[in-house]
Amino acid sequence: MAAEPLVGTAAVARDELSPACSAAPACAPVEGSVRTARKLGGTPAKGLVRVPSAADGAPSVRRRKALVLVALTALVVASFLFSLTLGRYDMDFGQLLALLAAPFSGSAEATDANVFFTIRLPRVLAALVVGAALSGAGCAFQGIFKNPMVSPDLLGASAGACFGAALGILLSFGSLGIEIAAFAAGVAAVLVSYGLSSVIGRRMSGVLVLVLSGLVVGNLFQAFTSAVKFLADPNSQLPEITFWLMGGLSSVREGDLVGLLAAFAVGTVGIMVLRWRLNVMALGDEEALSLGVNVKRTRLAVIACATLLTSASVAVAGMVGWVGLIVPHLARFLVGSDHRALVPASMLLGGAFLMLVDDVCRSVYTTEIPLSILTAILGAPLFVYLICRQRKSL
Amino acid sequence: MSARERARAAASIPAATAPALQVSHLACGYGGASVLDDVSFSLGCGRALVLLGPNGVGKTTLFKTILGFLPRIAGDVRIEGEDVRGWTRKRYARSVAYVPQTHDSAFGFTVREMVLMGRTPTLDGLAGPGREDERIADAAIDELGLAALADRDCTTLSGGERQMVLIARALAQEPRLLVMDEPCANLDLGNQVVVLKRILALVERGLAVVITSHDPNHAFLLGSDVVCVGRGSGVTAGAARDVLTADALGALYGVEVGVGEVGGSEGKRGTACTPFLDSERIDL
Repeated sequence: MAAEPLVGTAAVARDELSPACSAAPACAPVEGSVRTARKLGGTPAKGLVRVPSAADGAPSVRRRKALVLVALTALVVASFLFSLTLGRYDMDFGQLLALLAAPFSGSAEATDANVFFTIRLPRVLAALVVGAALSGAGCAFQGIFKNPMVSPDLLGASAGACFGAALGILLSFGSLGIEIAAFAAGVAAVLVSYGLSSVIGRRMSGVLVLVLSGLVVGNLFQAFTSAVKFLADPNSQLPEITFWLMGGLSSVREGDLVGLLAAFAVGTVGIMVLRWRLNVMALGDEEALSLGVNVKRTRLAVIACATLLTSASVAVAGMVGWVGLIVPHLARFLVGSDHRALVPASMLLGGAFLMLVDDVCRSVYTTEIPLSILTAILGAPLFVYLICRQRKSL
Repeated sequence: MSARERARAAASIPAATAPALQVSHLACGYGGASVLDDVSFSLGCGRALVLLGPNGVGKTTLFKTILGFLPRIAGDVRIEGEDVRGWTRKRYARSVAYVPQTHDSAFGFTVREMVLMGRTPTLDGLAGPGREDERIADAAIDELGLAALADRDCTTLSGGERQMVLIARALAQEPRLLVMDEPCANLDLGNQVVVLKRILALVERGLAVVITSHDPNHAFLLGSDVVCVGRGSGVTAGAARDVLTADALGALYGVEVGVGEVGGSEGKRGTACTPFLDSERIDL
């Protein structure tokens, strides 16, 4: 154990030296320099031979990550096109192309266009955006809370949004009103969590108090939702609330997309800009401080962006569990923990994942399966598998 | 880029004359209640300083106050001659690098990514690191002999290797002052020597290094200055061989301690101390 770091370095140095030397006959004695390297505590002897440098591996790592991101983008495009052809109203790629060319050629069937632009395209887009938003928010939350077991509803955004939607249904709001109520209540719940944590936790570790506050506020809002259900008309409102809470994209229309896309754009830009800081935040408060990061302000900015993404998603799609927890894990297997690649990879993967899950929801059975049922059925075993794999690698 | 270079150039002006770290009449503690009072010492560039003291005496508090993690209650901390009052975290991080004792990240950052994070304080605005930053990080990895581990997951490394990664990260930060929290904790004798030799090499390069330790032998090995924080007896500072006498160490830790010369092969000599198990606990 004592000399582990040294021996490791020296051994690899020897491996990499031999080809280097055969390529360049001018190289000096190999054996001697390796011994020196060992003696100096791993410092490679300079000048004599081409010493392996950390810079050698950098391009291949960079190339691999770029390749994964390109592949994921291709996956998103493929899933998107595939999802557009799928549904109760049959549509093949030919019709799809005709529709997309319609503004230019002016020759598309009215029924096709109607189905496509008012129902299918909004729905598939919503699945893409909600999947990407929840995964991006989950990824950001896992980073700032230094915990890969965290999901984007940690601070009560989902619980708040559910309460808002239930209240909207109770008060007989229209569908847009319900969405706005859900979004507002989701943001409000997180504000309460954050405010509570800064009142009670002036001297305590920021993260712990924040998690506890989120737990309290989340549970409180769940109780509020139950209260609304209790008050709701059991014949009309209660089933509507129940179905809404199960999550689904069947009611998404073009009008719902504007708000969702706006929130998505702002939240995504924020998290993408902050993604290098997420790496540093994941080291813990003290290390982040020592690396010159304003921990409080960065955490607040990340929470704001993630909350925007989560609340807007829940407002449109209802409760969709597991996505924000699982997808960043999967992405970590593909590109590693560096958030510069992890955030875009998570968002792409999440978008593709939710589009495909929604495809299953609307095509396997005569009535639609609620989204959250399927994400849980897929997510739970996947999560167990990921934990097992992680344990093996440790 | 130019802003970054200008900042660096500006930072280097007072460095030639002023000590890297000067602590004068510092009082520190949590929430306004002071644990330590009137601490004064200074540390020049190219010098090491070992912070010694029994558990719970306020060593960590002093340490965190110097790093700016805790607010000062009274007194001054000057880094490169500049009062740190009003410094932003970024300004702090451009002069002072911190090597924590243990790093248990839940995420498997690779060695390369971890070291690259040391470039964060030099980045403009919210930008990520660029090619030049990657080059500096790779150079730090090479300097510490970690090239073969560059793409390994930090969580799979041994304690000694991980310590080296954290030192490399601190070097990538290009600081004047390096503050290390028990760099040899949990390391076996062989790895302790590796880390201490590395610290000496950094000191020879002109860095000022502050380390905390529970082993006075580290101060002897480094030939450094020491600051002893005693219980009630106040703070003593000076060169290790002057301050760390058997009596002083005995009083510091509350046990009888012997200090003596030890010989090795080829005439190697060193100073070492050891406590005696049958010593009466000296009442403080």
